[in-house]
Amino acid sequence: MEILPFVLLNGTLFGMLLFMLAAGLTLIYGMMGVINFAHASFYMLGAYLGYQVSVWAGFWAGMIVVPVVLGLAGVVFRRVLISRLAIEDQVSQLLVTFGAAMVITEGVQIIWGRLAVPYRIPEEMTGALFNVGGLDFPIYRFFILVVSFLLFAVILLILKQTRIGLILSAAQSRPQMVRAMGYDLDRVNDWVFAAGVAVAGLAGVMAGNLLGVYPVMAERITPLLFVIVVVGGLGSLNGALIVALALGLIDTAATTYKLSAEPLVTALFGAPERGTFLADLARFNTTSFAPILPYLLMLIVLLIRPRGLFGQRDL
Amino acid sequence: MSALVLENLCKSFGKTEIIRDANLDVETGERRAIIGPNGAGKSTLFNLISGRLRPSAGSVRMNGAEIGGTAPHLLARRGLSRSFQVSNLFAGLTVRENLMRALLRSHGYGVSPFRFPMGNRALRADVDDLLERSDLTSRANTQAGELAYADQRSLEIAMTIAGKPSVVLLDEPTAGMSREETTRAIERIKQMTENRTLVIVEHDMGVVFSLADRISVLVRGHVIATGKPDDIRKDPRVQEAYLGAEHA
Repeated sequence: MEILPFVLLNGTLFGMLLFMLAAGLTLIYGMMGVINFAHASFYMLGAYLGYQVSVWAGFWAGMIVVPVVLGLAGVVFRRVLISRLAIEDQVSQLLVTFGAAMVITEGVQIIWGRLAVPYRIPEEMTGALFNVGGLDFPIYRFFILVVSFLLFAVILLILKQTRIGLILSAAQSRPQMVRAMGYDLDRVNDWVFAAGVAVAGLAGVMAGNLLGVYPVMAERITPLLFVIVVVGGLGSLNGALIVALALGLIDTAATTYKLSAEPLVTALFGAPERGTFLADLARFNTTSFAPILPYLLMLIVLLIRPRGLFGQRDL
Repeated sequence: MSALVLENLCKSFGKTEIIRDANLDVETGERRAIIGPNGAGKSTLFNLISGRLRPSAGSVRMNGAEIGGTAPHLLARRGLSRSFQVSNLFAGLTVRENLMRALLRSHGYGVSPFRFPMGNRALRADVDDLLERSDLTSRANTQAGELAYADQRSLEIAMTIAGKPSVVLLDEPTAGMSREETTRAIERIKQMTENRTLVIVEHDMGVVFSLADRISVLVRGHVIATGKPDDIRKDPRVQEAYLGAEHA
């Protein structure tokens, strides 16, 4: 049981990284009515640019420069592509944003090649923060946890207390009225998109050297993001946080504990012979099952509560 | 001086002309009602004035300046405020939170996104004052979506005038209200739009005659008559339009 703290810390870490991506995705949907299938591509771009800047000027420069650059790129992306898409036209939204994701993936391969790039954890962050039962918890993981929680606190403060937050919460339900009150929603949307993309990029800068930087990293994470956003409820930040943390913890627990079905099968039916169905059943374990769990969760939620846990409208 | 002038205003959607050479001259401080049969183009006219639609031809001037086709948020900043025919409240927020948002800009929270308005005393006092004036003090912490219908409409009027606009456009503010509610609503509108120019679109003749200084009649996109309520009542062209006699 001494690995429990590690499961909790690593699960929370993975969950917060997922939340950094899902938060932008769900807020952008809430404001603009567009589901951006290229959102995780900005996470990937963050990781690659973070690697590139770390080669030129070190990791810390990347932490600052990359989110700013990606935020600006996000504004261009919104103005050129997203703002032309009608809210009702979901087929175009899918085609355009999915196409953009493919273009970014190919572009990344042209520049950095098809293999993973060696993005390293900064020298001063290597080493263990503490050691329990012979297991180290790296300083760098703790650093990511702290940054992601700080970021969450800042997002919450902005949404609940500032002028732009008050306008955002109003515009999500009645954009016309907010315009009639004298607010330029185009500019507000620029801010939201830039912030969402910048946070995704920052997640890439921080997670890239931990989880690897390779051309399909966006495609790997995109389905998970949609599970989070759909199960949490489209447009709901609370929902995104809770589901992201839950998925992070479930995934980490399932792969760490690696519970096997073998003792159960043996107890029920006796030791199975090779090549039988029972033998296959006995080989079943939670590690191999973990990747399916998010989708199973989404299926169940969609059947029982199509609007998601905290959503306002049904899908 | 005129607060609002429309000159030969036209609006077509494809080949369909909705507004044809509409002319209107509303004086500063006047209460003007626009009436007309269904489909006359009253809402389109409002959308042209408030910037939601761009005129096909002609001009819209507010206090002497051309505003045709200007974006709604810019018009709002210049002192033109409107309500919507279909309720446009922030249903998930409380009455107080709704008013707070409507008041932000007039308290200087327009430019910088990252300021903290929640603790501003003057802003809170203004919210309380608006609550008082619209009889919503007891409902301050109710979600707007759960208010009784008449209360929703008065909240909307409060939000429309929150930014202290010089010109107020109200689109059927008493639609769907009972007699009694309508009477109270008229009083409230009179009070709250005092010293402002008011243009109101309304179906209910009782409301129009007790509220408006002058009435303009819109028929098939064209203003056929403007005058004092009594003159309009007697005008044969208006009677024709309402009885549909013009087809004969």
